[in-house]
Amino acid sequence: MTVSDGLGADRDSHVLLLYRDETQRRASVVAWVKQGLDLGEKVFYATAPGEAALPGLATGGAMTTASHDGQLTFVPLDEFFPGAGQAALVRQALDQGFPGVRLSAHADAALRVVGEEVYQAIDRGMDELCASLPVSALCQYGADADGDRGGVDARLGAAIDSHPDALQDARLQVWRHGNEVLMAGEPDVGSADVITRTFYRICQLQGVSDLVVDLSGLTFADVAICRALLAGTQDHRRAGGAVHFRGASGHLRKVLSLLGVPRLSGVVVLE
Amino acid sequence: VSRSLLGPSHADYRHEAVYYDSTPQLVESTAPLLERALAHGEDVALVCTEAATGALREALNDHSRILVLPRPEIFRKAVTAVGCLRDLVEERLANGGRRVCVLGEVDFGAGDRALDESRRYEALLNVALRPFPLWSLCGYNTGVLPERVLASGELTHPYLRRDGMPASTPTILDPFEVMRLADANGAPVPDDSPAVSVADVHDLGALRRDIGLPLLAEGVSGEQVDDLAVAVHELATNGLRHGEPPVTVRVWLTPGRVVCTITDRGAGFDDPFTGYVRGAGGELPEGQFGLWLARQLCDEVVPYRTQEGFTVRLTMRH
Repeated sequence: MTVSDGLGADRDSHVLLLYRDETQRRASVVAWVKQGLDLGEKVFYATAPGEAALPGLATGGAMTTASHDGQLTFVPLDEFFPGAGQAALVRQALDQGFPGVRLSAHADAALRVVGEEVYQAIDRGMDELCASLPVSALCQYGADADGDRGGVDARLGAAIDSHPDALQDARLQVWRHGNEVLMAGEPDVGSADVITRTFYRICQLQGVSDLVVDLSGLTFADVAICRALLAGTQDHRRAGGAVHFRGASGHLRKVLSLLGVPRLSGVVVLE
Repeated sequence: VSRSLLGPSHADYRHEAVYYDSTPQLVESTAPLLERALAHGEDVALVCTEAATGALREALNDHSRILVLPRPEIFRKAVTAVGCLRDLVEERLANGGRRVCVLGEVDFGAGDRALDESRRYEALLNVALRPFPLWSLCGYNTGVLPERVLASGELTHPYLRRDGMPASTPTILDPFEVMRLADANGAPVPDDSPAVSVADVHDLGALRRDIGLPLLAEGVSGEQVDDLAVAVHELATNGLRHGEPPVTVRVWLTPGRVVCTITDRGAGFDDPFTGYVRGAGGELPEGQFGLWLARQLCDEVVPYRTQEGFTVRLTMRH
């Protein structure tokens, strides 16, 4: 997969969508759903209590048609989330001959409905579904819209921890494939805490083996992002693991160099 | 006024000016000092003209602990010079070194800029490098340097040598006042209306693009546009996070120079050393890094208070 394919291009991905406002959420979700419909996949969209349906989906011409064809189904959240609910939906759709299945729900609403422990168990089930079947999942999470500060509270931390393979916010995309992490976008201080937590989690799963971080999809990153990458990987590096940054643009390499990043222990900045 | 940077001085820290009028005189007066330093197991770094470097190496028998640093690169700006010296001392210490003795023939060019940067350099040595085992021998060539730079050097060094001999040392100026003098002397904001004006910054990505396009159209190089965009981004971020909204950005294009102001409505800070000194330790500590990076990327970064609030003025020659 390349950066230009975008999140969700990888059929088996389990993506956390962090949104700060409704416009961003709708644009990301509609794009993701439309991608599935274009591929002929079945899309289950869990509606949160009080949410009629996703306006962009219900009113768009292509979407309406798709919905009529039975490709897109809205499921109330409380029917979507109990235990084995999703697995049953997936099997049913695959039995009907759909080449793939997409599932999307509000992770934050689910966390409120079922609690953190149950949610994490469900999420692990989702991981297994994505890994073993042609399934992808988009978990939407309304991060606290506290200006641009973008802090990570315990609940958001839990959501990040259970989605180490793919994450998207307004300015950033992160994917993990084995020991390699790809970053894209133009993240700034608003994504810094999310990046710190994401890399902390990735390093936890990584063990002491080296991590490769491909920065070629970043068109910009500020000091806060450089610091976040270091903070998130600090424990990993202190434990003897190394982090190889590669593919940074000429200017980002200059900034990393001025900040002294290549001199830090456990850091390698490749050309 | 915050004096937080004035921590205890290292026992082996020494800041000394050497006045000389020719390369032979510089070599004659400093070679014995450097020889003694080497004999004590210290490292010697030369930031000198080619002629002085060659003569000193010969006088010191090409000792293996002599390091030669690129003078034009080091003396590009005060912040660069001090950063390089600090990195050098930390690197030598980490590798079992004792003290580093640096002989640098000070040269920050000509005009007001030479005076301002040499003032900043000496003030930073007095404040930022005092916790380190560093012996800085600052060479002042009386035949080359402007009179004002020579006069300023006498007021910024705790120790002074003339004709190879220790000279009486006048009371040095308060480094904080020296920094303020340099800042007050900088290029002013042009009178005409700005080429770019963003009254209330919200979208930092849009801000970077708003700044970049007119600069590229003016023929400013891509790298300098990127440098300025990063500097403005960092300072606008500081304004949004630590200051008071709205944050206003203005950019003026004058022949050979870009001037940019970033203003927020907060009180800002008063410490003239803010953002000059990287935090201690290997990792990147919280705070001041945006301003520090801006100081690396731009020719001049001057913070000041106005009736509007707090402004940082960036200048970049192109």
